[in-house]
Amino acid sequence: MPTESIHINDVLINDSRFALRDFIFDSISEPSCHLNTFCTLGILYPIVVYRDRKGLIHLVDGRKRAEYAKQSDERLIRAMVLPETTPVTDIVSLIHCNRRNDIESSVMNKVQFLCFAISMNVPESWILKVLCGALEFKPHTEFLRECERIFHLPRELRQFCHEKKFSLKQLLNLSYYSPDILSQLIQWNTSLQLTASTLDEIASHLKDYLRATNKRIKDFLAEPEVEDIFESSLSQRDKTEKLRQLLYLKRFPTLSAVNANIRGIIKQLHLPKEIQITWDGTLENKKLDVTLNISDPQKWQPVLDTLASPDVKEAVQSILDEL
Amino acid sequence: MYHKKFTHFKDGKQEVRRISKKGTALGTCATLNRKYLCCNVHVLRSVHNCPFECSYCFLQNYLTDGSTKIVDDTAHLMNEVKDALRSEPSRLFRIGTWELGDSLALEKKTGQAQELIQAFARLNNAVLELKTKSDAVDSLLSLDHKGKTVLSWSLNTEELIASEEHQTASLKRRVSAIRKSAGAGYLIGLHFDPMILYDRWKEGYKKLVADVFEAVPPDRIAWISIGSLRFNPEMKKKIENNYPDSRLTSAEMVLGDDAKIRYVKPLRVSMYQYLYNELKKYSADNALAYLCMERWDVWDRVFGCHPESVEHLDFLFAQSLYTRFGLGAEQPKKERYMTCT
Repeated sequence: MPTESIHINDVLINDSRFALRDFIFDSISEPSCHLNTFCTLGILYPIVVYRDRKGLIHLVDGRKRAEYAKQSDERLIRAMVLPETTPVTDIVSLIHCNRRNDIESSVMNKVQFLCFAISMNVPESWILKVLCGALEFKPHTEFLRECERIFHLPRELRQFCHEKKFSLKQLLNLSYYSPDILSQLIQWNTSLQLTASTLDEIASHLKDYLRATNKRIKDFLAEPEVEDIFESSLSQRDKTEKLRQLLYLKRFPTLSAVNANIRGIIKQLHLPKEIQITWDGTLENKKLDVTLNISDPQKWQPVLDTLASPDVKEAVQSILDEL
Repeated sequence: MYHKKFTHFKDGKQEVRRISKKGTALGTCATLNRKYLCCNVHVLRSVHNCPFECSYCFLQNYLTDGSTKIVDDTAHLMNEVKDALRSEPSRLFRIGTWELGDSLALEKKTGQAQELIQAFARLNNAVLELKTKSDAVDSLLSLDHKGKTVLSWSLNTEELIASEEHQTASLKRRVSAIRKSAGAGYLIGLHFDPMILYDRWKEGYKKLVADVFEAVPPDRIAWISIGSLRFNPEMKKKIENNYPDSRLTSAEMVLGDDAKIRYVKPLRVSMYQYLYNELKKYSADNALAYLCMERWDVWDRVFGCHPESVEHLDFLFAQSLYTRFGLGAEQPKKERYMTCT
């Protein structure tokens, strides 16, 4: 395609209909790197623009070049001008190719790019068949609606998900939480040490706990144990761990109580380190696993004697009764 | 002929489509899993989808085509049933039509149950189970069923019917239908499944049992099943999305070995024990009660014993039905059941 020189002030950059600003989080890069190159070598490659029916020129590719040209008071810039008749699918494909590194830097960005394509009125059949494949998604019929759900998450949370590399499943889980839970998660991001999996777990348990008890988030925050955690001088990491444990306890009170009881029974036995007793923490399977770790043959008989003792037999019976 | 494919499960509930039988319609209950005791009932897939809307129903996550379909060539269905019966003539088959829908919800439109009841009346080694949350029994009352059909009800407390079993018949209407059906000589099946925990669950289930047994003489009850809420993990989000007011999914539940989420075992056991104790106040001494999809140790805690296997439970059914109601071609022999696949 031939290039032509166009007035830089005629180019819509931030207001371009193809601006990805609201759809893609930039990967962290050195802005001075581009500047240095532009300063030493000038603008080597033409930008790509699209001229619409009204004659407005929308930037498709080359934002840094266009911005540099503007800042440098250049009047003209070389550009490849896509005609009005250019299929939007071709433009979206072009943007994908040119911004692949940014778009594919996180699942969040990939989802947002699909939403960008939807916002461009690209036929959904093409998005599902071509674009989803290129982004390595295996779409089902509701997939694009799920992407839109994710895109409707608060921007701050989406940014966090992008930086923490949330999986598609984790993103989708987040999209089902109520606005007050999402807002709380954003607030906690500064006081807790949240990873994708801990945030997913905390949000899930909190949501279920609030629903089960018919409480609101502010009721939960006013609970003494919760206040204790956030008013403590614990590190972010320890606060996070305490909150996780507390939520688990509230979410699974029966399970926690039974498991604590079993742990208590085993602790009272004062078993030698060669004997380990484990069980199914979900309590579904009524069985115990007894493991012997023997490195010294001299320990064999004392270990067997311990196992055969009435105390251990009684404890095993008690634990099996609990299970 | 073009038929619209419904992508949302609710959309297809309003339109009933008649279809021909395709492939195999008779199978075993799809929930079969060796760690959980199953009653080994057979299922005849004669209906797909259901006009009712139970918040916990697996169909919302199961059917890829949401339209409601009825297999309308009963003769073909029955040919397949007869072939299976001929292959094991000394075995009593229990065959239900409720796997992918309600057995009677569409009866006024389709008349399918009437045809099946009359067809099963002529068979020696099979019992038809029609399980429902409706009260659509009027058209069945005068049929010559010869005691070969068990009309069963899926039962829950009034509160749960109102909050979770949308569009279904109220408890009062179900109980009235049970009374009419028992009066017409049908054997009755009672399914207290899924039991669901809520604040006043004990009062609810106590009243439920009392209400039901006021309508049916204990000696007309073929079997009583007890089960608790369970669903696939993917269903959690579906339920929360489709029924935002439901609190079902926020209960204390764990993932079982059959990949289904259910209440933690201590809660299940306490629910079952409570209900079974209530049932014992009314039911016959030789009543056949069982747990649907539960572990052997849960059976022990509730009933004090458990069957040796799925096949053994199947035999116990046959023995009970033969002894109490004369159902089956001959006295069941345990070894014939234990070798079944």
